[in-house]
Amino acid sequence: MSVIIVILLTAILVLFLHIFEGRQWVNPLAILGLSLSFIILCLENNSLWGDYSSMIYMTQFAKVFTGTAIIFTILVFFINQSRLKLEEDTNNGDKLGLVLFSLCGAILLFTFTNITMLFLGIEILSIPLYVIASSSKHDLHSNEAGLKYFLMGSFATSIILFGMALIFGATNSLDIMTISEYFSQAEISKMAALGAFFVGIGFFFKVAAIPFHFWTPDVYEGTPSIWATYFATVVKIASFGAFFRLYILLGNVDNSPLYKVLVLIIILTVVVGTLTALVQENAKRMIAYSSIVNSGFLLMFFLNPSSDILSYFGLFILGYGLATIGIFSAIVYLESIGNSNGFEGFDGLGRSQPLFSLGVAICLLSLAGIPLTVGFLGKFYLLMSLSFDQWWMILLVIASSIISIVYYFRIFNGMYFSNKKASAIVAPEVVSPYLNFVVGFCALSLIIIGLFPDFYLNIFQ
Amino acid sequence: MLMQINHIVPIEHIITLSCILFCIGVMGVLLRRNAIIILMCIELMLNAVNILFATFSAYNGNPDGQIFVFFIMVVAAAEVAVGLALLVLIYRNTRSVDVSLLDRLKW
Repeated sequence: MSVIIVILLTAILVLFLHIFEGRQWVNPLAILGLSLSFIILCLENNSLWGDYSSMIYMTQFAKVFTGTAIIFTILVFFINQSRLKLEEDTNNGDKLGLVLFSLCGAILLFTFTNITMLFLGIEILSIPLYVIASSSKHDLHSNEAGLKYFLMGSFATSIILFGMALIFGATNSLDIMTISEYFSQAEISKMAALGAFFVGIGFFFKVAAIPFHFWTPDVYEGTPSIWATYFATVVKIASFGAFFRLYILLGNVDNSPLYKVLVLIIILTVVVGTLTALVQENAKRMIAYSSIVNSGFLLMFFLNPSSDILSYFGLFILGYGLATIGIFSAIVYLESIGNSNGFEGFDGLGRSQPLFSLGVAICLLSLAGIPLTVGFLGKFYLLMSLSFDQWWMILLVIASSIISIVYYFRIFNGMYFSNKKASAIVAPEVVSPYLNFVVGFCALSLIIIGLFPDFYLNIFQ
Repeated sequence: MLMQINHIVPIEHIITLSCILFCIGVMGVLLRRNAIIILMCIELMLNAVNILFATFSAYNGNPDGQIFVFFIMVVAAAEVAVGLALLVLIYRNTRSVDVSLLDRLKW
């Protein structure tokens, strides 16, 4: 609980510090507060959390996911710091405060034990993000991204709520354990099944599975790149963490009607997502489709839930998040020197910034699933978790991974094999040390955890 | 605690009413092009859910559902505040609230 309190206090402090003197201290303060909350999270015993009238409860799974979300937010704030060196931003405090508030919602999504908390978590996570998405006030793209995100987000929330109401009617309880007991019966009422179906559809919207994905590329492209990083990583982790817990509790796996829908949606997501990513001309949209394909992979973990799956799921999402942050920091750098978001923006980066682009290249390799990285291990464990009856699913993963190399290679190609002279395209400007730190951190942890995954997997025990 | 009272209206009628309201809301979101009307339709969907929660709560004698309704109301108010602010922002830039004008981002 003290984790949430520390983050909330930091957010309020950031808002106040922004009004009074000391705008330059806002970003360091936010990073400091988050680091403090991370330390508290590591030191705090799970049992100290209590259960707060059986509203929230910290499990080991929730703890690892909370830690991951906090670290990703710190990395996003480091990227933000690099921008502040270049331009004066009078609204920086508001944005940081909103991001911190939405992080609290994400933590509620990992720890809820009551449907009310699930609903509040989703809303606390989303409402600040609608503002963040349109934070570049005079840019029409940003406004449009905000409005689209708002309409789709609240539409999805209403559908989830309708499902919750039906489940409440069938089980006469809001407590997740009682509901889970009801769903583990052999025979469940039609109303409860319909409710689970609606909740599932709403979450497919939230995690951007095809055919409910159409808002994702628009929102990622329109939102200022720094905050798009937050959308692609922390928000993804939060929605998947909640969805995974719910599915394990309510899924009633094999005979549930949700299972067939899930299989259909996984196939659609991976196939359509991979093919659409191929034809993108904009790096941000390509990343958006790559995140949709990764959603498909993550949904595959839902097919055979077991106790081991939790840690593999965590490993996959960690690899995806770190690699995405690394690539987004390259996009932020290119935007700061005035390059476009197209693939040609990356031309010659390998020659003008060799070390920086090495880090970005490692992130790309990890997303594509090349050995020695976390991305490879995540896909390896994903394949291990599938049974032989699901051989076509295994084929799907392998085929999609091979095709994905093609579109990740387009950035790679631009960085290293472009014919144009480096000085002609990319101004030989120094990369901000903060961006260097973020990319270095992501690349190093991708390799270190890729070589020694046991350390990370053991935290889940 | 709520008392179990003799309800004159059968529960099926109220569930049907709330389903119809919810469907009207969904159709409105999918078909209408005016952002304010889409916002109203989302509110309609939330209110359909409110009716459903209140009904189940009253008919099953479990007050939890009615507490949930308060949460939904509060959150809906916050959502509308943000949504209307976004609409004003877009109206200032485009002089219109028609969502089909906003197609700069596609594919």
